[in-house]
Amino acid sequence: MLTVNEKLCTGCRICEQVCSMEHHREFNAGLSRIKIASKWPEEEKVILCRQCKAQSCIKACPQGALTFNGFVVLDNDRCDSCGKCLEACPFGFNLKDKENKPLFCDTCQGNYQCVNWCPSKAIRKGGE
Amino acid sequence: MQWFGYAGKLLYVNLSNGNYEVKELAPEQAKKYLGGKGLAASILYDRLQPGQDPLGPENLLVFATGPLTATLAPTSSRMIVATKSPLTGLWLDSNAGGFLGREIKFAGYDALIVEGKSLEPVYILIEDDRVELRPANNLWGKDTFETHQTLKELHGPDYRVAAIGQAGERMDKLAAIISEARAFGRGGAGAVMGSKNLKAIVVRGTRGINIADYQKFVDYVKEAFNEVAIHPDTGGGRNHYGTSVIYSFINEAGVHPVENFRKGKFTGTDTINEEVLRSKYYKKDKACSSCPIACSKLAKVDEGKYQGKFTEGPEYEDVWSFGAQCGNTDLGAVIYAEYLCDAYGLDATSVGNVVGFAMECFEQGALTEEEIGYPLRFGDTEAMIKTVEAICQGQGIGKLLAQGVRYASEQIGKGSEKWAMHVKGMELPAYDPRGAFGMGLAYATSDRGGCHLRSWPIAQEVLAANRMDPFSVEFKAEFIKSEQDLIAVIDSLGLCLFATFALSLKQIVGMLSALTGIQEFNSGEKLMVIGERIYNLTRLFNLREGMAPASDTLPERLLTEQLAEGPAAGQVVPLDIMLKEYYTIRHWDEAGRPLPAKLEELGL
Repeated sequence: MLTVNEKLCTGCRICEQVCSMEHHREFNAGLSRIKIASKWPEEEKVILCRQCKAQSCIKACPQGALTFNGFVVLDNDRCDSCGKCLEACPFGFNLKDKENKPLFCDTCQGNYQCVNWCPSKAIRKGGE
Repeated sequence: MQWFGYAGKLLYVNLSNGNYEVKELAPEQAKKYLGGKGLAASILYDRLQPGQDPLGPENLLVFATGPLTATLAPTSSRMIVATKSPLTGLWLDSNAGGFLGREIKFAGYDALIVEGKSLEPVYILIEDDRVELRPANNLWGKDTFETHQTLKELHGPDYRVAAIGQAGERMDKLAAIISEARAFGRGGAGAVMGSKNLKAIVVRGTRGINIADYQKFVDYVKEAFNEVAIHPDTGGGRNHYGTSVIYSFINEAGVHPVENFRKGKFTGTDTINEEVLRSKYYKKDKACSSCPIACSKLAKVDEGKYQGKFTEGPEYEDVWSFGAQCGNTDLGAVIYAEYLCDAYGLDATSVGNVVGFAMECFEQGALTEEEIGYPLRFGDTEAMIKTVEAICQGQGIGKLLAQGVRYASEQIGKGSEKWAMHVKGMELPAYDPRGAFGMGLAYATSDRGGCHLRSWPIAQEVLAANRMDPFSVEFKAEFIKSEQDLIAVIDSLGLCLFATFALSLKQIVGMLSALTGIQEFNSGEKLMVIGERIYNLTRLFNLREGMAPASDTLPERLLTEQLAEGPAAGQVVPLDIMLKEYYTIRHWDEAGRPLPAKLEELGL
């Protein structure tokens, strides 16, 4: 589970760059599973799946495409891009790829690269 | 061609006929000029006929990113705007961080080149391949904050904006381009935008940037992040205080200009210094794209006359320009003045400089209370703010002052030229070279005029533990030359100058060649040749525009008037000796013209 302290976030978006680099070997904020939403000139909002216990997304999926294995796992073939999972998220997580499929954090195989790279420690693993 | 690091495309927009064209980036051009400043210099040199009016439709505005822009390389947020400056009549490149460069790159372009002039106010909307001119009549007359807000509400919060304020619309020579809280501040690029009836550019990009050697790039970037984190400046003082970290050091060294460079040490520092800024006004760290330093500090005034006013900063240069330069000791007023400059779209460093100049004119009798409308003395904070407001609103004396100190002094006459602290028309920033001789040579030979960002020997002459002797001319020419070449490289890559405090050229080369896979970028020596090429090209640009050889100089005050007190007491800048040596080292003739053999060697 990930925790976020938005007060510490400087808005540098290193997390976005690292996430797309780690998963796609390119820099492309649109492929990132984390997003720093700009509300300039006010504070940034950190948007990512926090792997919470409520798991409303899994319950909301009509296709049964979501399971939980330490993080939310998407069965790409079952997903029909309906968006019900994102609507159900109590944290306002809403990241989608170009096919409108949800972009859940997969923890980088437990490496949590965004946590590793965040220079201001705004994102942490739960319990750390 | 498959590009790595680069987007590989240039977007040309013609405002006169509303057409646009996408051209391939030529590999030879990238190899010869890198990107950013170098790329823009080659485009301007090729496409702009000499002798054109900077505010005429023929002038070009080049928004250029570098190959590292929008990657994970630390501080890779930077991009430049290049044009012929209305302030100096010469080469101008103005650099900013923030997120505009990243978005232009994500939209698929290394550079956007704006030509011509629109009949009506417009803004350029770029969404990847889609490029449109949209009417901006409803935005004309709005400040930069309102303009950003309106455009972001219309297009969405993920769209990045760069806009001019009312100063740019009026084509004031000190007008800046503002992108969110960052400014392409110096040299009047905002006036060029205004002259083209271009209110803003709005960009959204969804493309990716490729990496040539993934694992190598990641390793170099990791190493670079570590260097930035452990360096006492980038990972310590600058991260904590922002650019004002140097304030007390500079003042103690007696090189913090006071009251229009009449003194070198400010006595009002009980209420104006980096500690007060941090403890009383600091709210939050802000960072540009991919920057772990986060030198941008959100500052806000909580009480008193300027309550609610905020800025990202105020930067060291502006704590000076609205502080010691005007004799003001109220940091709240500095924040308000910088806020006004951001809102109306003005260069805050130059605005403070010109207000100090007007104060000296008033005290010397060259400007009267009748002409100004109120007494304008050094140390009168209210009068300073009134004057900044007048400049922002284009009212009264402000109308004249908004054209910069050179123009203003020519109009005022009465010997005021002596108090106009500029080089080649650009107002000097916050260092007195009488206490750091190298800085004098750096000012005199900067390719855009009086600026500290082409070489900053202050780090070595004032701040370093093992200092170069600030009062010696030895090694200064050599040092300035090589730093100018290095910074031309940095400004072409898309990195921030602050990265060079922590990173070696070798580390930068490592990231760049792993990212781009380009053989020609695989050594520091090769990059330094490119830097020298760029610095010679901007020199050629200036000479072609008719720059007089004698303009590589400093204001008379710095050459003849000794400082009365402080560590630099009794000093003036021995410029001639250093300049002669500098020309020799650069292989320029005695009039500062690059010699044919040097140009041939550089492939120019």
